[in-house]
This record gives sequence, C-alpha cells and structure tokens, in this order.
Amino acid sequence: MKILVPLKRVADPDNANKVKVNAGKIETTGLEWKPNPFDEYAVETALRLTENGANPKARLGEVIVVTFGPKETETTLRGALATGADKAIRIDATDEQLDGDVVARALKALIEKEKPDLVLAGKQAVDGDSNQVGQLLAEYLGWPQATFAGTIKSEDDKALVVGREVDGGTINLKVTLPAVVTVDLRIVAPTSVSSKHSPAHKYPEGVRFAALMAIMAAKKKPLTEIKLADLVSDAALKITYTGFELPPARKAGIKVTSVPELVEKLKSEAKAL
Amino acid sequence: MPNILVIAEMLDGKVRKSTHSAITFARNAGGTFSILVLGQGAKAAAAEVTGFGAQKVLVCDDPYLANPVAERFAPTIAAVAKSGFDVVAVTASSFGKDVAPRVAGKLGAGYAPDISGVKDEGGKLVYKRPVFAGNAYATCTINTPVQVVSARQSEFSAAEPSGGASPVEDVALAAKDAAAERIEYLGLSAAKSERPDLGEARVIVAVRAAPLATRATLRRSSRSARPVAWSLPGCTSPSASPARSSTSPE
Repeated sequence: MKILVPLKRVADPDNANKVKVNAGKIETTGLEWKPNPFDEYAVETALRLTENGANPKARLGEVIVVTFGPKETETTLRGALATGADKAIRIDATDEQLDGDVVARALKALIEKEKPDLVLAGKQAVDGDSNQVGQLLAEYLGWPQATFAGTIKSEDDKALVVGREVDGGTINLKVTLPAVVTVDLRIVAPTSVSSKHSPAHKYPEGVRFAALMAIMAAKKKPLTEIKLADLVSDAALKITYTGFELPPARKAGIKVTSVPELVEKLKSEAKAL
Repeated sequence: MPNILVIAEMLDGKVRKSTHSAITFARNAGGTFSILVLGQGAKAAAAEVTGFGAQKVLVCDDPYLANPVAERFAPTIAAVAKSGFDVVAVTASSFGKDVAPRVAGKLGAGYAPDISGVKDEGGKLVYKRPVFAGNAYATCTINTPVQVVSARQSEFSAAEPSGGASPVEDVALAAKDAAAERIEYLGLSAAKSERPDLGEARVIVAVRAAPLATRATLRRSSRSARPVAWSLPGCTSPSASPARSSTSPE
C-alpha cells in the first residue's frame, strides 16, 4: 500500500500555555518546533499498515511524508524519515501563503502525481485547530473520507474498516481505497491498527522513536522540494486572520462547605438551575 | 444582512439538542435564517424546530440519509445552500465537523471551525475562534461569497423557542456523490453509560472536592452529592451525575 502523510510542524504543544500575543500576532519565540502530534500518529499508523510481519526490514508498500514550509521544516521531514518513512516532499511556502483550503488543493495536485492508495492525516493541527484539510482533500479528490479514526483494520489493502470516534460512541465504516483517513489520539494504542501482514507482537503505546542509525540513514533518503505555485495556480486564501488575543483570565473560584450551599449558589448566582 | 442555513443534526429520529447552538449562532449573527433538517424521519422531526423563528424549515426525508455519512449529506446541504444562503452553520459536533468542510469544498467556500463568537461589522461577519487548544483566540473573516462555519456548543448556549410556526418545505435529495459508493456504514457502537450524553444535557455540574479533603470527607461528599443531583429541578435525567469534572477549555 502506498500511503501519503501530510505533516505539519507546530510550536511545542506541551508549552502552548506559553503562547503570547504581541500586537495582535501570535508570538512563538522561544517555543520549540515539533511535529503536530496528530500527524505523528498518522505517520505511525502508516508505518504499522505497511509493516511486514514476516520480514520487518522490507516494508510492504511506501510511506511518503509531505510538509508545507520553508527550508527549516525539512527537520520535521527528516524526523519522519528516521522513524521509517521512505520518501519526503517539502512544498516550499510560508505560513502567510497557506490556509486549510490552499493546503488541500496543493495536496490534491500532488496526489494526482504520486497516486497513493491512502492519505493518512492527523485530524487537526494543534496550532490552528482548523480540522478541515482531510475532509476538503477528500472532497476535492472525490474520495471517501473517514475522520477521527481510533482504529483501522486493513482488508487485503483494498479496503479499510475504520472505527471513528464520535460524540457518544464509535462509528464503524468500511472505506474502499483510495481514501482519506484522519486519525485521532487512540490510533496509537497497541492494537488499534492491523492488517493481514501485521507482526505478531503488540505495539507499545504511542509513536515509535528513531534509532541513532536510522537518524543517520534518514539523511540519505530522498527529499524533494516543490514550489507551491507549481501545484496551485490560484493563490487566494479563503480565510483571513486579522488578530489574536489571549483568553480572559480565569476568575478565582469560591469554596463551598456543603452540598446545599452549592445548590443554592448554582441557583442564585450561577443561575444554572 | 446574512441569510443563514442552519443544519439540524438528527439522532434516533429526533433533532439533536446540539442543533440549538447553531440556531443561537444564527440569531447572534443577525439577519435571517432557515433550518435544514435532513435524515430518515426528518419530516416528523422538523416539527421540533418550527418554533425558533426560522423563515423556513426545510426537510429532506430520505432513507439514504439514515446514517451520518458525510458523503451522503454533503451534496444535499450544498445544493440547498446554493438556493440563496450566505452562511451555512452547523454545530461543531463530530457530525458537523465531519460534513462541514465537505460542504465547503463543494461550494468553493471558506470554512471556519469552532466559532466562539460572531459580529456583523459593516455587513461583514467577523468570527472569533479558539486556537492553540484554547490558549489564544483568533479573529477571522471568510473571503468567499458563501461561508461555512461550525459553532461551538460551549459558547453558543442552546436556543430557546421564540414562538411562531415556521413553514415547512420539502427539498429534494441532491444527486448522489460517487465517493459515497465507496463507503459502507457498518454501525454505531454507542458508549454505554448511565449518564446522559454531555452534549445533550441541559445542565452540567462539575464538582471538585477540596484538594486537602481527607478520604472520609471525599467519600461523604460523593455519597451526598448523588442524591442531591437527582433532585435538581429541570435536570435532563435523574442520573445527571455531577461526578465528571472538566477544567479544560475544550
């Protein structure tokens, strides 16, 4: 199976509470760049789906990672290559040139060239929280989509049974490839992803780490650059961000000593009841 | 003044309460709005939303829409949106977030998700939405003639009926998407819980015991909290347990 995974670097999400706003702009100085966690899960999912249990060294298929950004974002791509992806593509662009729609249109053009069987993406990036590239891409390609996947079972690499995490439970869908699947947190649980050629062992919780040898070897894996303009002719953005602000500071809570007092406050002060 | 199409979400033959947040969004945005109820049994469910001041309640009742599959819903939503609407609004539920970008793709529209606030500034709608997991708020505008948004349930409280009776009109199922042929709905395994769905609850009470409470007081307070919650007037269910506490902005 040939799988394409779009990958975005984001300001360290574990330190997102250090995000500052300066003159209406987000200030990320001092925050480290990390791969978007949901995209890392997508890479891990792709690696598990192409794993060859009989011969772990020979991947059954190909994993291509793609990012949008300046030269520095190649670090993120090399990181994915080190964990096992086969090939990387950087689409040269700046943040100001991009919104979810441009990214989806550029990916569509790229996918028409690369012809993957599956696009695996994170359900959203944890900086913009826009949650749309996967769905837009599926629509532009005319492919089916399965968003917020918590489990994936491959049926002969021709169809996937996807457990989607939705309000109030899990929706199971069978998707015939090619398709777009976006992944949620639980996809990296030990037995969330399986195929006929999966190894017998369970995976550890979370994503895999690269071995030192693999990090060195990743430097030799193919990484190509494409200009954004070569993929999308219409550069118009559909969303314009005009400003950012910090959320209002939380008001201090009050302590109540008894449940009747709590109910009284909920009635008279919070007016929740 | 924008003309807004509110998409109602159905569950078990009824309009989900989450839909009322999208109605509040439409009211706050000003202008006029209609509600599109689509799904199997939509005709009967439509009566639930005729009292909210919508210009029309549009109904597409078809067994093809029995299950929430984005590829099946998007063509009809997009077709109705083209009949004179400026904004398509869904509630940012998992259904809304799944289908809305597909609709936007069909309309060539910009999509802003998880809207927490809306203002009409000189005829242009300006949206506020959380980014960085709620650690900052962004202000944005959509540059396309038709706009698609999803409204956060936590920020747009459920709309109350305003009286009146909106006329109900049938709309046809749009031509089917080829992508829908390649997707098979196998079923929903519902999370079994005695507690009501948080998205549907009228009141959610989050309780956190004092950090230094001893085990004994914790036990006592949790024991006493339950019967009190049962007797709260107007709770959606006697088991509207106060046990779940949430401090995250999500």
